[in-house]
Amino acid sequence: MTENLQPTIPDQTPTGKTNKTFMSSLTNILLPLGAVLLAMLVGAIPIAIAGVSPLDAYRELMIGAFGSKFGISETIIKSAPLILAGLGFAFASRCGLFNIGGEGQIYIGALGTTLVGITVYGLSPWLAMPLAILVGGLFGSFWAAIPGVLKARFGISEVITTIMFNYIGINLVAYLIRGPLVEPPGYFPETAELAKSTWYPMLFGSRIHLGILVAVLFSILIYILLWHTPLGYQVRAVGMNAAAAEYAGIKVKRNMIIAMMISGALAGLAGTNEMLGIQHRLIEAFSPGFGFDAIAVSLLGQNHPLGIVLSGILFSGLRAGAGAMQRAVGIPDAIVRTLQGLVVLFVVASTMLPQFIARIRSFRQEK
Amino acid sequence: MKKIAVVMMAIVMVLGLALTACQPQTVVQTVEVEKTVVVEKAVEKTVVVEVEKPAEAAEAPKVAPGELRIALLLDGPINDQGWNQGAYDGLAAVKTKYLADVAYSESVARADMEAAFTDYAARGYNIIFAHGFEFSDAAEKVAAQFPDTIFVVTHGKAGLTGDNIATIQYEEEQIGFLLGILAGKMTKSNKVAAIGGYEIPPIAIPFKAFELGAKEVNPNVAVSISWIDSWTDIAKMKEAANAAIATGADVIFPVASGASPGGLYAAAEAGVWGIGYSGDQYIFAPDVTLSSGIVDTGLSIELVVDEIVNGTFKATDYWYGLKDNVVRLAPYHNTEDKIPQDVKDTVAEWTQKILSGEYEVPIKMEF
Amino acid sequence: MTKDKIPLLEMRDITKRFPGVLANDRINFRVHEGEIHSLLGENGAGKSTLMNILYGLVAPDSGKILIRGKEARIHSPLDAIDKGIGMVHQHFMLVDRLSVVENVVIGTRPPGYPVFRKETAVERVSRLIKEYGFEIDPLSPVHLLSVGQQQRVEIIKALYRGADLLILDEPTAVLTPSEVIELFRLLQNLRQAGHGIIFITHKLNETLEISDEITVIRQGRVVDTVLPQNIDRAGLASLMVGRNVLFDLPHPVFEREQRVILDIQDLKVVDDRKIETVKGVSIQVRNGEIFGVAGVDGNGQRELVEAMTGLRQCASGSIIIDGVEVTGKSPGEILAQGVAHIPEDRQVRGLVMGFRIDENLILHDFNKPPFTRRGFLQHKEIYRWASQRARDFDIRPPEPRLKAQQLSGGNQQKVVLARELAKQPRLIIAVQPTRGLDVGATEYVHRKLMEARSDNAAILLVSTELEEVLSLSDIVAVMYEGRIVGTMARDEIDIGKIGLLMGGGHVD
Repeated sequence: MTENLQPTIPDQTPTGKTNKTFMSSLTNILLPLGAVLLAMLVGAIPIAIAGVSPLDAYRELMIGAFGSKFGISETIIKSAPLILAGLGFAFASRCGLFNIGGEGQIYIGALGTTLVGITVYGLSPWLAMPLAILVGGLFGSFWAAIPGVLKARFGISEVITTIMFNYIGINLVAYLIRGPLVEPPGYFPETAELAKSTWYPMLFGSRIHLGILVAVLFSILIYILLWHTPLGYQVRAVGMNAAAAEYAGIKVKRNMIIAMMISGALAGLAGTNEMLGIQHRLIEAFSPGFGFDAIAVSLLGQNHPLGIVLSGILFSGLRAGAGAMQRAVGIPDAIVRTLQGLVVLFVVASTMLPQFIARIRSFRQEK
Repeated sequence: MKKIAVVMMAIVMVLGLALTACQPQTVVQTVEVEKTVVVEKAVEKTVVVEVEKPAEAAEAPKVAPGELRIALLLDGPINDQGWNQGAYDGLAAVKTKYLADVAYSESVARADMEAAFTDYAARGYNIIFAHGFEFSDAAEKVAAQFPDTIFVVTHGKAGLTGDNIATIQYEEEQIGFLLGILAGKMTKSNKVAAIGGYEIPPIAIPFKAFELGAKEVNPNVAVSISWIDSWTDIAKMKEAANAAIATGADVIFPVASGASPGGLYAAAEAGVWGIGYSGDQYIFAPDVTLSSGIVDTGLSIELVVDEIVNGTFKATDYWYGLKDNVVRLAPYHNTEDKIPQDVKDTVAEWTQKILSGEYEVPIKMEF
Repeated sequence: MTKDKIPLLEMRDITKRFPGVLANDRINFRVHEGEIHSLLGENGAGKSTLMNILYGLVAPDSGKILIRGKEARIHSPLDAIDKGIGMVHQHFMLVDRLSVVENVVIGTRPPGYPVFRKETAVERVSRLIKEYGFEIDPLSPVHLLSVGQQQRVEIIKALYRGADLLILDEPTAVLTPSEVIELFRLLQNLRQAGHGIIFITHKLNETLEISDEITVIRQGRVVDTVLPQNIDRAGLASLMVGRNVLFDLPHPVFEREQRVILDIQDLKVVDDRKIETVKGVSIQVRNGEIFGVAGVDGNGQRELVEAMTGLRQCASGSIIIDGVEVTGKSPGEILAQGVAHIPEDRQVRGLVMGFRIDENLILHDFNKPPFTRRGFLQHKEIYRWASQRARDFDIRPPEPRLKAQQLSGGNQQKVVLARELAKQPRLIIAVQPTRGLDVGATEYVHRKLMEARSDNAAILLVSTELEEVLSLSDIVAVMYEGRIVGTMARDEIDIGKIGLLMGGGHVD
């Protein structure tokens, strides 16, 4: 009986489908939109309490995000790590895995890049930079492979292990930059500066660096990988129905490990991005939680590379705009963070809303 | 997946609309304010011309007293009862003293530092203080792009490159030494414990000096140094202090920012002496706190602003110590009567020796 | 019949529209006291929606429900129970470890509330059991009961809550033939006691046997309400499907050389709980032959099939496919032996529901040419091939870019068939291939299996639908408690004997 609770689309009428697609794209536009506005409405309350006009604050936010040369370049700079880490989360999701370990993978990826960067002095940029990128990806990949193997071989929940590996990764970096990797004489907890040959070059005479192009390039590569290669096909099959995939002879466990490795590599590249594009040396707390924001980015982007690029820009815009707003109108940091949290919460909740409404409707409907 | 693109574009557009919709109202509200801004900018331009003329000689930019626009970047919240609050108090003092236009940003993440410097500089702030060594790299980078803006990093890396960038350094070994004298004189068990947050130079250096001072007046004293690896964990600090007291220590010297009170509480409960640091911390244990080593970061900021206003500012490392009153001993408060006069005399004697240059504490930060 | 009496239930002009589909279109439906009324229709015809409306799970867009002539507003199952409506679901909702009495009383205000006076409850339930002749021990834990007995517990539950209108959703699907007879006897008792019974089914023989009246629904509308004595099986089927349906497929006999394709020797398999559920099965299936395994669900069929397809380890024994030992091989390696699979649950094992039709059609061969060349999927080639398969197998709509979840059950099964039969398999393992399918789709699946038989494939058919096994198989085996308890060739089939074997009886 439950099977029939969901209406089946009549066999001969694809017209019904067109209608549905139109309706759903309309709600897809209106929902996140309404969510952002609603979040800003709720966020206006603490801003007003802090003694600042919410309208002034939001105007500064918009200018700082999309409305000025500085804002646009900040938004673009910050979008690169969000896009890369978001792609990482999405890739694991496509295989039915919940990789919460992006943050740890970012740190370990940055570590890999740093190890290259502090040893290749004198090497041509044409070799040094790709090598730094490659090793960053490999390190991130390795860090995600461990939970992947634990999941595939022993069935240990990747949710738990990836969270734990965040702590291990972040603290491992904290240890290394105080001990073995500290820049002599060891006054500050940070490594030496990376060789200039590994740095991402600046673009358009601004602070924008090569990282955004790397992020877009990987978005395209991941799109091709997922939808145009047998590997992507297998990963998606396992993600949507592991039982059927196994029945069809697809090696489910192997695909899970591969998906985790690719996921971790992408997150690792977000760490690489921060090393080669911004910090140029390994330090503590260089990521303000990109690995966690990436989950929201990926959810809003519906685990699709194009969606992730766009939602990554939206979230980085909010981040850049929030900083500018704080500087322009001088509201406390706690309120800025509250607002950012509200936007993430409302937007992510809005992506779940259609299913929720549909369920309520099909379950019970008052006339 | 086109629909995602549509969705995201729509969000960006509506946010843009919301921005323009905000403007009419705010324009009305801020007409007068904007006028004053325009005036300030005009004045600023003349300043620029002045500075550009002697550009052949590497000279620091100058700011007239009436044009002070000062921004402060902090790595934590302004109400942390310690490091950041001190700087914020300094900013407030400068604001009153010179009627300066001031702004600040709390809890600036590593990834946002460059953006924050750039944005403040672009908004026309002519002095930007950044509170903590981790701002050094970003400050150096941005300073090169804004030659007319002065950048000052407290506790920054010494010798930053640029004609418009300076650091503030504290002669913390002086106060560490004096506190060591006090402890060495007051201990009965000849056991003294210094407990730090993290093993980093700004704490390790005064600890070394502390040991040196104690041994200077009491060759039999044993100074134990331990670390709790936290800036916030009061309970952990208290535990460490209790452990030290259990092994016979009767002077406890905790230096761990927000966690420090734990050490003073333990001292008060056990009836042994305590010594505060950073600010005047006698309030946490009024009856057992001998004194506190004050590092007045706020005053140091004020002093640098004075230099700028007086036209004597130089792109250098400003060292502040006892002579500037930036580093000093707090009053004895409630323990005034419990400390024997000869102890007070010894401390005063050594203070004088340092001030007169007769004695130099042989412990220096190395870069 | 007493048509002038006020009906126990009357549903008037019930209309319900789901996005893109009119599930119920002005349906009128009545049930009288002491009447067994069958609701007959294909899957998706709208009978489930109608019953969900009646039971308060779905709200109608328009229309009225009258109980004994009075308009009733039913917004939840609680309202429905309150109005004397009871529902027996296909999947039982019982707590295994509790006794019959406890299962019956659970969820109601117990006798002696706020304490539970068990003796009173036992007494009341025992009275019900005696009154209607349920023949069941009220104190027995439910997990010790047979499926048929568990179903009776569900009926007692409804009666205990004061139901005088019972809805039975496909009640015979899980029963052995002898249990069906027992159920029908009970239903007749209930009818005599004045209860109204709505009997949902798609089995035509049973409908004709038990019903007082039959309402046929097609595409959301009542096509006709008929009396069983005025119609036959073919007539009902054409009402249901809207065209004539061929029931008895020709079963041609070919003269050709046969050899053993599937050879299973003394196979033992344990289930997830480490209990041996296949206890030494030996089966030989030859080319051009359908080997049917009959039996009630849960007698080891699932584990047998999982072992054969490489999803489950064998405890002992061997499986040889066309001379190649495949015991312990992976699913992929077994598929490579020319094995096709029509799995028991197409939505779980057969299809990736979120994949498009074309993606589902290449599930085995996606990484081989022509679908993958130089490391990339060839979407044009895949689409062209899938369009061809969709046309060949009459998948409706024949648009390979639709997702599997957008298709009806019958068309989903056609996608599975189109994929599995495409590769000219040597061996076909078909498990419950028509479960949940309507008459038209069932007929189609059966015809395809017979075609594969003509094409010389060896076919192992595992089904709990006895009718299906009997009409298709050359050899029928009965599986009971992990063993093959009897095997007979098509010309020596004895339905009575099979029924007895399925129920665990011994035949000399």
